[in-house]
Amino acid sequence: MSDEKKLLFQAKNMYKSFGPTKALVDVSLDVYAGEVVGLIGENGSGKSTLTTIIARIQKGDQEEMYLEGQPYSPPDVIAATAEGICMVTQEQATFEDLSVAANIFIGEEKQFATGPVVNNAQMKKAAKKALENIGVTHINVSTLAGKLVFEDRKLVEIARAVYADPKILIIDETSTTLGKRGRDILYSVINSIRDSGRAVIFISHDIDEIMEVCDRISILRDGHKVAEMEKKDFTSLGIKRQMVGREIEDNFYRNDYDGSFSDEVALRARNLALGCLRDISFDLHKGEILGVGGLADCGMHDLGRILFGLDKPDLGSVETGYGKRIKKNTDAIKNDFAYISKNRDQEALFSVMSIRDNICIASLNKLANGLGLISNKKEKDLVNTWTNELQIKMDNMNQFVMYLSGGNKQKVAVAKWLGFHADVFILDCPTRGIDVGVKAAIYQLLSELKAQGKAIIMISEELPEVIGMSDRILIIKDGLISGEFPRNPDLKESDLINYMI
Amino acid sequence: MNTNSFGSKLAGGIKKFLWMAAIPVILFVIFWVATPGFGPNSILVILNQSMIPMAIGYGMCFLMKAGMMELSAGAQIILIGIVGVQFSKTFGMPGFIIGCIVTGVLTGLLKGAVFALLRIPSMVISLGMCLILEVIGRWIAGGKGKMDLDKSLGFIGKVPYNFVIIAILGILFLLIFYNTAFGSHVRAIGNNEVVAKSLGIKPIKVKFLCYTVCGFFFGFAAILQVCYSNTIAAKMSMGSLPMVFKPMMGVLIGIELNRIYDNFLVNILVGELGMAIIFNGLMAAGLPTTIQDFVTGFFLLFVMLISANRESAGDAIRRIKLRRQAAKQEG
Repeated sequence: MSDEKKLLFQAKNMYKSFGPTKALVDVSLDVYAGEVVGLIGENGSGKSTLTTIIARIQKGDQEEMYLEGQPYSPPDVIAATAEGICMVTQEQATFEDLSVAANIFIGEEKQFATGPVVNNAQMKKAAKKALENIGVTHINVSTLAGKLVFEDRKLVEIARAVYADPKILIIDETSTTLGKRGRDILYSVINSIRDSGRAVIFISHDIDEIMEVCDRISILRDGHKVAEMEKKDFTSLGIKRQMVGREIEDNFYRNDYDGSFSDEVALRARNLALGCLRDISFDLHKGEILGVGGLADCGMHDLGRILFGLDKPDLGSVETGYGKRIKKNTDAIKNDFAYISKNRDQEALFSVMSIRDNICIASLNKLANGLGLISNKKEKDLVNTWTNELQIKMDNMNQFVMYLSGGNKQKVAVAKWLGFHADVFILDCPTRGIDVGVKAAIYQLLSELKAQGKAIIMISEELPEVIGMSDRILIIKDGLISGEFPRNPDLKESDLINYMI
Repeated sequence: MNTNSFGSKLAGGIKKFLWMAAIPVILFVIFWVATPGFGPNSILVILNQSMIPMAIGYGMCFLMKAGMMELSAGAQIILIGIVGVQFSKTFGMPGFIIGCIVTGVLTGLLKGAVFALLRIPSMVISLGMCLILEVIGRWIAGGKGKMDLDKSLGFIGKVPYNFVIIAILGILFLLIFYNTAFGSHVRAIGNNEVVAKSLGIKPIKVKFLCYTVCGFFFGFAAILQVCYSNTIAAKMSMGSLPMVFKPMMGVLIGIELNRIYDNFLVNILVGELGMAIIFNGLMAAGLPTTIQDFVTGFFLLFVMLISANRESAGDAIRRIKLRRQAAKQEG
């Protein structure tokens, strides 16, 4: 099939190393006009490295690339954009102090300039058009990006990339940050680029999404390309096997369906109201995994922040099982609560601190001796335990977190609270950006935590995950609990969706 | 969909501007009521004294918004002034003005080049350059270590011409900060340098330009500084550092106020005016310098406190109202 198509882009024999880590070894990639090529692989397999080299965010140690048959080696991102390759990265790439319009045209202001002076009115008009082009009408282009919600900031990035009218658009692990509306917009952008004879390179850890969206996939493992598949050959098990290099069960969620947990309450939420959330009440029990699902903007992510004391509710209260009020996050931590934000880079990690510091930061009091001195050995043991348990790919524990791949960053965020030995876990999208192998490990860990009597709230936009792991599911719609479901083998996504939309 | 009409947006903008304008007005009224020697007669003095920090503040804002620390501004301005006065002796007024502006840009270029070449933290650069520029200034000033401007030239930096200079600088600041790609890139780098870099912005180049643009503003600041007393004295051993703190405090206040109103021109003006009112008010009250410094520091912290907690305070008030309503409904 591909042979009949026009070869649009070719990367040959790509190599890249970071110190002793070989991120890419002799990787080649062909992209044909009018197709969506998926790149899939475990965290640290080289997907983002390959695409950031193509987008010229970084350069390869050895590289040979062609765009429409011509040698392609632009010096930087702006030149790559000018040649027709744009990328939407998995990290937050908007500037909160700049308006939406300035964010969309950052680095491209010259088109609105007379001499050095930029015509802001003209830029805003063009920004409005750029957003409308991808079907976004609810964002005010004059607003500072810092005042937008996470999903809208990502839509601004997509508008920025699409406005450049790229021949190839690279989308790196973006859909996990989007809710249903955002994903619909993203898929419509992808379809429109494919239909116009251009191409998309699409990275995602969601195998179902990859199978749905892509025409062809390249599978990477440990910096090597291990397989290529055409759509007709896609099978979930086959892809997983190639990704991790071993057999992985198709269903890596819990197999038990008794849904039992202790009667003892670990967290009590009463009549919580803030923003769009209204009158949310529930009990979380010891040994329970309580799934919370809904559309991205239903308020469930705010609920996680309220439960951990990061946001004060307008009404209502959060208490521990024995009646201690959680008014702020320090109360939560004192009572052995743990929280992982969906917004990993801004709220869950210190990017310019080491893996060791990030993992130990929540546990420093527990690592200190009677004099308040922290034992070096205890610190190292803690880090070694959890980096091994979660298979974090790193040069050493003193490496800065900013140099890790997206999935490995998420693992560090998870390791921090696992090492803290919390009793109540509030996990907001805990497997966002995590590959299938590590997802399975995280689910296994959640099951183990449940067995130890820990109480877990898992907020997630992935319904299979919510259904597969929860003892009880709360669906939130328009800020209210619209449905509650006990664990049940017959429960389907469609049952929940009816209560979400 | 954007439902805000132009009218309501304008009204919102005016409301925020009035909030900003209220800060110096309230400060003025407080000192007017509390201090017998302070009143409408002080307005001209306050405005006059705010002009130099304002010119320095507009320049420093570029560096500070790009995430850099600048402590050599005083040394740079003294050197610029000394060179300007030297040129005025041969070329008169044009020599003074052009000498100051060109020296400002050249010293800015020098600092930018040092930063670009060494790539070390701006704090270290500013301390090193402070010492170096002080010595160069002292060397050019010669024996007495100070240079006097011909009295016939000093009018250019005095009322009302200093107001005209600041108005022109304000317009230039607005243009550069909000209407050029460079201005956007400065704010982007200050926000997230890694992301800015990944979008093709060159942080070193932008920071180099920050030093240069800052030097341009410092050129005007030096003109005002020299004309203020028709003389400029060289300083040694970081004696120029105190010149930095007042404008820097004004910029810090301006940056904090930006959370409420996105207009650095107005915010820095409010910050510098506020500082000048407090200094003059305290002086009129006959308070010793130690108390003046104490109150000034307190004012800075107070503005930061209000600005940083504005949303929290609003949330708390809303929460109390909602809880009362809920209690009534239950009752």
